[in-house]
Amino acid sequence: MTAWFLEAVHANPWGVDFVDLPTLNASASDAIETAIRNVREVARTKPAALRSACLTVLGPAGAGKTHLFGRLRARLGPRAVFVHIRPLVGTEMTPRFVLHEIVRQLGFVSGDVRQVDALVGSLLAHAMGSSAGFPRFFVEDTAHLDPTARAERLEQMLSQLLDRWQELDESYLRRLLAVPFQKSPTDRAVLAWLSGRELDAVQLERAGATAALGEEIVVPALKSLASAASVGAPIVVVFDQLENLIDRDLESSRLFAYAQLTTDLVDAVHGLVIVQMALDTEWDRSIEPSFNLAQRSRLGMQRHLLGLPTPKEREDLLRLWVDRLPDKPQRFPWPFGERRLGVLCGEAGMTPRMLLIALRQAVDEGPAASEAGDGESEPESVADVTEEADRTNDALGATWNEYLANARELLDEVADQKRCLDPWRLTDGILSMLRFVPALKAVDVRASRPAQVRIARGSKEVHVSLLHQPHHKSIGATLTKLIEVARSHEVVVVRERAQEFPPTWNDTLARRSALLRHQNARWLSLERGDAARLLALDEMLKAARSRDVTDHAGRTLEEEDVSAWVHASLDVGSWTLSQALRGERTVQDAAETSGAAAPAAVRQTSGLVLSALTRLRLLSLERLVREIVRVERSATRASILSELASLAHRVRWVGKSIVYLREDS
Amino acid sequence: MRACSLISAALSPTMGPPVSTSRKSAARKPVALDLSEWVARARHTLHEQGFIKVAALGPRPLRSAIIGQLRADGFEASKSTVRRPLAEQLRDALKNGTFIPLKTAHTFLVGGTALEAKKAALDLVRKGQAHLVLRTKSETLVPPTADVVDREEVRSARVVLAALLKRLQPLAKPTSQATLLRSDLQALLDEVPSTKPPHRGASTRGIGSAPKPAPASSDERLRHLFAAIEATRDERLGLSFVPNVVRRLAPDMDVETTHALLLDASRRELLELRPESGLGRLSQQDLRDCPPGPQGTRLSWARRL
Repeated sequence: MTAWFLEAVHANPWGVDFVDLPTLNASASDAIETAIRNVREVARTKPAALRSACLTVLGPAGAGKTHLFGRLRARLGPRAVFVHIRPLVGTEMTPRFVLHEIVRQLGFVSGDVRQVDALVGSLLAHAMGSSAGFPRFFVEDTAHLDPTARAERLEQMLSQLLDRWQELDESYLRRLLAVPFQKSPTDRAVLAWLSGRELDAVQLERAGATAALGEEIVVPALKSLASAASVGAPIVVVFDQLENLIDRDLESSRLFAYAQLTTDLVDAVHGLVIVQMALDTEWDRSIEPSFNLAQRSRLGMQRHLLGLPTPKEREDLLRLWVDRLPDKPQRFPWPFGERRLGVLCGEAGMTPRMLLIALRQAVDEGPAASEAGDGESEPESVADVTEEADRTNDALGATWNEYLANARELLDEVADQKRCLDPWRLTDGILSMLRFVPALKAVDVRASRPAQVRIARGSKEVHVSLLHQPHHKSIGATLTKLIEVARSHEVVVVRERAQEFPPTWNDTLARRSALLRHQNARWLSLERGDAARLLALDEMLKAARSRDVTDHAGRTLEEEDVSAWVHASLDVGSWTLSQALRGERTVQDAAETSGAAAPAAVRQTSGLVLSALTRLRLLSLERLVREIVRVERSATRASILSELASLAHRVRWVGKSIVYLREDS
Repeated sequence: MRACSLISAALSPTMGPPVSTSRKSAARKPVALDLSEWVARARHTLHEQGFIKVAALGPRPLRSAIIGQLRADGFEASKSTVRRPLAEQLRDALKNGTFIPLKTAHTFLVGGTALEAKKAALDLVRKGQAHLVLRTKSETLVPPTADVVDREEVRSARVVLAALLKRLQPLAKPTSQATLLRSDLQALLDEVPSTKPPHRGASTRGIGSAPKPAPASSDERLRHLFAAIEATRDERLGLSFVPNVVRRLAPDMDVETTHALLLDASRRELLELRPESGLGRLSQQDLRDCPPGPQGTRLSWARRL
């Protein structure tokens, strides 16, 4: 007997189903709603006076900060565009990153409507003098027009926006307004271009652009996006879990950089509603003190302290959850007895998350067990302590697997879009990994360098380049710069295995060979499993910092406990990237330098290659590698090539990159 | 879709000036509104935002008339802004129990400069609608209901403490090896005037005096607890750190009694106890001073409801 929300102890900002007690912390959500309304009102009536609003929502772990995001999404639906940003730890957040996140999340569905459709639809609705409540209707109506009439209508709308704010970027807005009316591959390419992402040649052609969005366009693009949206569906940017920016070892430069970014957003970009969320006590002890006066005056406009539920609200919340449980044998207060319910509703310091955990335990153990104890018996003997530790470790193992599954999902999504992971995500993952490799220490990170991360290994310095670019020209340029770096420093180039260079990129491959001729240079094809581990580790450590990792009984675990578990259980030192950075020979090196895969790897991919070929008949080698790696993460390109060689009598090749199964096989 | 024809009609003018394909030709036409409409707009803005810039009030010739009407409504006008009176804004902020540092009073208000905010704050103090107290080094505006020491008591405390310091001066010499009998030190400290106003019937002990028996009635103990919570409250956060509350009450109450009082007040919904969620910042002593909360947490913060 389970319900989805019992497993969702940590709020998912983009969760589809939603259980909410509207009275709980209504003042905070009302304040954000009012700010959205004010921005829209000012944009419509006094465009010259349009400004951005900034609110701060603080509360203890589990009080419902992230839940507020879901509540507002559910309540406002398409009347606002919601953007949820968890801060980067390794790389400084820049306007380009914010633009990227806003446009990426325009592609998300909120209130049954894709957010970009809500944005454009509400602008159309307002332009036609209608309510902005049903934007999809106006998008569909405009989509049914013939192309000339549609273009004319969009042009009129653009013209009206430019009359209001003449400084807006016309070409950026024109592309944005056209997105809902473009076919699927094209709209994805246009959104990717609008987000500031670098595109490959095919996507550039689809987007009708010749190059990626230049650095000088980023701030005008943000201004245009925010101001245009403010008339219909204002953009609400929520910076969540800001406590992750606190660094106890270094100067608070990341916090300062964050404050500078948000201050710039408030000053230069008009029409945004910025919401900052953090642990209440950390905000006052560490976060706000690192801001200067100018930053404080802009970022501290409004502050809302989340309260804990009152006894009445606790009972209402439990009743709400229990009502949603399927197949209840009895009515509320089942699965609690009267005594336990009284304890839960009366005990001091109870957060909504604690109540949910108590409910989950009661459902699992039954009302009798729930009534007998308060679920928090202290271990008495050594055996009890050991069992308790084992159960905590099991819970952490399960949490790790959850993060790993999420990371794999993200990697699949990225692979489907035929691109590499965003370098900042991988950077954060590498920095998290380095915390568990004593021989290595991060020196600094700079996104603009060809080798973004510098790492100290003893007296030596290793320059790590995350080669994420999709376009052969920018890859070529980066490789040329890396050749220069490799003359004086050790360089490790990391490229995801799923995005290896096609064999037709002769120039790129030649530059890669030229780089690898240097003794200092090393190439690492990052396997899907390795990338997933880096992402999962980073997410888990960030969650631990925000007190979102719990043990089997739902008790919050300290960050140090989670780190100790990672240290003891994950053997981070043996991860391929960690070995490569320490200058050790990796399994991949062994397989690739011998020119053939290890027999074990051949065994692992055995059958998969044939099955994929039978299913897909004709495909590129790259696609085949992706298909196999998705099923068998230990498979490598070398092992697949080796198996193809062993199947020489059954497969045929077109050039070096297309392979198919012989008709007679 | 029948609505299509309606929607396909010319775009409404509500979004801006008449549609034009050329940006340059689309200059904004002045909107013709009468005085009452401008005043209504300004009132709406003042209601929503608390202030409005004079430049945004309307056409220049109408501005003085609009300002006149808004003044008659009770709004305050400065050279560049019309706003809700600063004193009223300050009173509202204080009503919520907020402590307002004088230096940053303007950040709690809208439509006023730092100088104007300071002047309004001092006016409130003069009228007895707020107290001005010294907390560490900053002058802070607190609600008129806050328990403050009057100026006469401050003066006598200064006199006694100065005399006390003078008497202790010989012991500060590096060559001196002398110290004090504890009872003598106590006698000196007992000379410091009371920290409680006599009319409230509270303890009349001196600063740092020896522990007295705990207040007898539970109401009295609660009053002590709330005074300690108020005194240790972080101005910006609005919360009191429980170990500080415990330490402040320590001469009169032991830790267990304070914990019992805190939990009892929480049960009666007089205050809210919140679990610690900081990054492992509690010392061992802090942990002992915080009552245990649900699921292994420690209740380290308190807030009056």
